[in-house]
Amino acid sequence: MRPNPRGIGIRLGLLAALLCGAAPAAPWPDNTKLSGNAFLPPGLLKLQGDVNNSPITLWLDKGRALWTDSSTGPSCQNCHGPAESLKKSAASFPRLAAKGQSLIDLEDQIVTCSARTGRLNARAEDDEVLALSAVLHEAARGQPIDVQAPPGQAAPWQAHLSHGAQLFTTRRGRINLACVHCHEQNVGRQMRADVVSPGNPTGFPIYRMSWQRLGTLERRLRACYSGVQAVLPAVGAPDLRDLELYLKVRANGMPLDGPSIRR
Amino acid sequence: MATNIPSRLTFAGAIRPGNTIEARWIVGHPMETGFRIDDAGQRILRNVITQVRVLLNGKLILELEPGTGMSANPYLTFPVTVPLTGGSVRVEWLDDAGQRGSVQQLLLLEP
Repeated sequence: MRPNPRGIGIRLGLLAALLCGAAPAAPWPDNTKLSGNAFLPPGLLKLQGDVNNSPITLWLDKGRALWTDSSTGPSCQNCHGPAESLKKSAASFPRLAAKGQSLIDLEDQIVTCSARTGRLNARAEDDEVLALSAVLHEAARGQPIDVQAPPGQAAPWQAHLSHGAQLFTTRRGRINLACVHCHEQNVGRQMRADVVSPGNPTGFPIYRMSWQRLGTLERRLRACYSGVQAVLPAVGAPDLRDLELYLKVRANGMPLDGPSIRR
Repeated sequence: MATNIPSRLTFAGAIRPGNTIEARWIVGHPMETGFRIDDAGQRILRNVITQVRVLLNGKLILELEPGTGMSANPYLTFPVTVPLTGGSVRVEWLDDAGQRGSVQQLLLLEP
């Protein structure tokens, strides 16, 4: 088919207009290394900073008591000392499990430790596990995220990371969106009543207003799956750990600022 | 019935005789409405705080009956006028499951 010369002319004109006119400002911030706090309304930001009124304090109080509680076996304090001594460690999850090739995040590690100290059947979203996670993340505030391949096990770690990156860019659900479409390409834009953040996992665990309680990064990721109307992965699914690894590596070097409040 | 539900009571403002300060109370209660069903399809029983009593030096100053309209982890602020000799504020609560709890804070007068 012969190209339509008039059509080409219109296109050239449009291009010229775009080049000569002022370039429209990018709707998203240049800096995508932003914490979720940068997108929080002032009222919630104030609540988050107010130790006496923030609901997170309820979990922190519980966690501090649990840290030194030795009623069912050795306490966390017995092995680890004060929570502050684990701040570097808290910033380095998810990691490969000691045995095998699977990834574990900080809450998985707390569940494993809980079994060791006589608190059996603990699950990642239990109040006690969340309380300990909140205490560790509070101790690690300001610590830069530092998730690296373990020496000697680079190959399986890299496989998890690649799979996570693939999940981040794969369309899913009836809405048919990938993470990248919102959290890379439309950061700072309005999505209904909320502003899209770059999705940096610095502030977890979070007290999300709609949950009315504290929750982990895994729960937030499952909420994203639900948001795009995709099939929900099971709790603790390897896919979620791989995605978490990718998000943490993507945010490497950013300071942790959790636990925090989200809408 | 004993409970391990955490609660906090704090004051904002100068604790001086005759001064009116703000008291803030937060309690980590699930406030289950009774309208939800669990994963097995069973109705989750209603369990909300039904009664809150605030006492200043043992004397009732505030009483309320929260219902299902209040969200989890209720947060309440109320004014307290500091008595001439100080004293203490005590908040007591009772829920549908029969659990009760209380928290008490001293009004330590500022020099």
